[in-house]
Amino acid sequence: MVVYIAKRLASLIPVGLGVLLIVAFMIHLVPGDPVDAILGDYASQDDKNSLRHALGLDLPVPQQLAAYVQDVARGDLGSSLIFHKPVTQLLLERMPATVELAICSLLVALAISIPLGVISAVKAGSSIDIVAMTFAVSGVAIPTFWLGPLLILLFSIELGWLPVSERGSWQSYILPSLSMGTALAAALSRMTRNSMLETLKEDFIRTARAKGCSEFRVIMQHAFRNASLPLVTVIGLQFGVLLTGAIITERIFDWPGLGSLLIEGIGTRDYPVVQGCVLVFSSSYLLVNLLTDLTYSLVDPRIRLSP
Amino acid sequence: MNFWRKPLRGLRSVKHILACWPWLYVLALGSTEFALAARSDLRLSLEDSIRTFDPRQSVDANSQYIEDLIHCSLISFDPQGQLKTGITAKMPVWVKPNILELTLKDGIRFNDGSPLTAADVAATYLAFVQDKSFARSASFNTLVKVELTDSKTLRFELKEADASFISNLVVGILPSKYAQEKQLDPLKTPSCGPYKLKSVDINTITLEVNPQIPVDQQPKLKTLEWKIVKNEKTRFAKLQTGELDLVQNSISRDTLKTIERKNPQLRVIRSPALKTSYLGFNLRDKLVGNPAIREAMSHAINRQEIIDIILGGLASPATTLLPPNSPFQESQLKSRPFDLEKAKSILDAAGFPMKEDARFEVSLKTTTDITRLSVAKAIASQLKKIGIKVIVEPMEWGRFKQDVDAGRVQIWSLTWVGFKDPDIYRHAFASESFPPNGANRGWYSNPKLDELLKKGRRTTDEKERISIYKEAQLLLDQDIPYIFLWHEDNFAVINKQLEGFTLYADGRYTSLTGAHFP
Repeated sequence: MVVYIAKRLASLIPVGLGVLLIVAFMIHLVPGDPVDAILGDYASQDDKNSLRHALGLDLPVPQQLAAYVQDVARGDLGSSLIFHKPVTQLLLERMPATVELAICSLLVALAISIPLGVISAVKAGSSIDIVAMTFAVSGVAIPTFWLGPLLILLFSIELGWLPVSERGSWQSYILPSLSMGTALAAALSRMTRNSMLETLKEDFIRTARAKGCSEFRVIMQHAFRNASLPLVTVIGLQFGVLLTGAIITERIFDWPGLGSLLIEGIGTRDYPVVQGCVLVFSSSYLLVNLLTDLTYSLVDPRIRLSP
Repeated sequence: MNFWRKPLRGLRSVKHILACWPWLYVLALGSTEFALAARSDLRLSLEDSIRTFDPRQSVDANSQYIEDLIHCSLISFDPQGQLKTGITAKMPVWVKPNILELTLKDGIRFNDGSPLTAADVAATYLAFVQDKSFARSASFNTLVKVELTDSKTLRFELKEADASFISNLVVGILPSKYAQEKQLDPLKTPSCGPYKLKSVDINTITLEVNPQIPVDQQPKLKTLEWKIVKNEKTRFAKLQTGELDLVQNSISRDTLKTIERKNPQLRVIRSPALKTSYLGFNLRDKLVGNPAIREAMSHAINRQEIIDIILGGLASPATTLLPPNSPFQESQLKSRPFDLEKAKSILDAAGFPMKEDARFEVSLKTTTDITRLSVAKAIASQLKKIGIKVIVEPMEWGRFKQDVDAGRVQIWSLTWVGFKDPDIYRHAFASESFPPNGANRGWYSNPKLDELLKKGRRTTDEKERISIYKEAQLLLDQDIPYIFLWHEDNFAVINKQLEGFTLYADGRYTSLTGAHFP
């Protein structure tokens, strides 16, 4: 197991490096000049040139990338061109907000999807199943940029129960988590239902019932545990999406996470910030995938991880 | 049910009510006192992050708004955007064409209690001479040295005469010890403005009153809490729920139309701003380089219609770059009247007859901002009536600016924002300001105008400057390198209870120092 983890972690390095280089190269291709954003419209060409030189932006792109990779290898992600702060500090300031939101959204999604999926599978074809699957289809279809403002309108403006935005009190986590978690809950409940339906048809379920197990035990201990393997894969992948794809939710709910930092970085052509954000996103995605693989062996003891 | 009935029955009895009255009196008194205690905090929003709290680095509007409240500066601006004294005893005086002298007021202190001296002022400005990497250094390219004449008097020596230099003296003054440092800790750097930084969070910046200001002169709003709210709909929702008391400019104009009717706790105020929108032309282009085409377009654009429908009435038609309240504006200029027939006849006479569906086709580049895009589409629709087919090309800002600077454009729409001095004409129209040296992006060249603009920069006599710039505006009106569209208004949605807040033409929040809740 340890060897397997070490190998997987080592394999992250070339993947991360590849992603980093591609993104760093692409951000340099995007039109626009960070020096314009730093010095404003009234700066003379001489001032712009000297700042460009000071920041190393006048070097050929491959040379800039090579220097950046060397710095990253030393643990230095550079300084923001716009905020005049180390990128690592900016990332560390924002990361907790992103991780908290991702975890809360995942919890919301699991709390909704697993009971819904299991019940609709057990009651397949019933009115409960129809209602649950209607929710699932709607949840997938409703975009976050629509659901978010709708939740604010209902719970903050009309009912006055929850704050509109701003990370702080526990109440402030509810709306963004609901907003992000709903779509995921919808997808997961469909997945749970399908997986449960297949498992419930298996011989071992019939055997368990024949042995006199209670229906609850049959469903939760025999069926759900076996049906949860594909779920783990999807949850792992979706958690990566939650970590990296909260840009719209962060915008709507003023959530000070990495997504909003990335957008600001792109808007101002703050290359070190964009590269730093992408590095964190790609690393977290790869780590979550690794964790997902590790979870397989816990859920299904038949699976052995070999180096 | 009994749980509810029992106390109600009890309360109905006179005996119980009488027994309760002293407590009711105390409660009523308490609530009256609560109601009478005026709020002393204000929650405002900014639509973008504060990039820096270092006055040497602040070139973006939001950073300068905060700088204006926490730092003091030599020069300041009044609500109309005209120069006034800041910490100077009187307006600076040009003792020679390139030497500016100014005297500081007495008794100015930083918020750590140390006195502000001429040496602090000199150190702050010399930082720009010594280190060109500060974002604001570009404004002080002509500055050679700063000398102390005595403990309160300074002389700024420039490479050459530059009358516009005074309007740059708005940089927040730092203690000399801090002015020499490359990086500043905003919470530990003493400042001399009406407020000081209390805390800085990713999404919240809190200012509190500078304790060094005598109590009777302190702002009544003791705490200003700035929230960074990037989404327009969220800002509006926070205003509705009372989570915000003031939002300036960053609410959609469509929302404004009904905001007061639907939200009685809110009030909308408006005031002319230093913002002039225009259509720029690449004069090297064979089509729009033809002055007849620009003149015809000028007659065919119904500015008032666009102002009323798209801008919600929050603008006034423009004839020149400077706003009507500027002493430098040439008030004799009149807009070319909206006259489609005249526009068509100009095009016919210039050799652009109507073909199948259009006389010719031009492209109009603009940003993806929803209002700018709507304006561009409206202009395209209006020009279609005289047979000019306009292809609107919305672009992300970086790409748009790169195209315009490189001359890869026929017509573009933009807005000049926050200009204080008429030297802006040199930056926008002088031959020396072709990109990348300036913002003459239409490659307009008129030797007579060049001469006037040089003279205007060198002349320190205000009356003479006024006549120079008025002449320059007449020349520009003849040549039409731009079609000036409108001067936009600033507007703010505020808590109806808030009193004493007025809008500043350049968007600053200076008037918060006199604002209060009753």
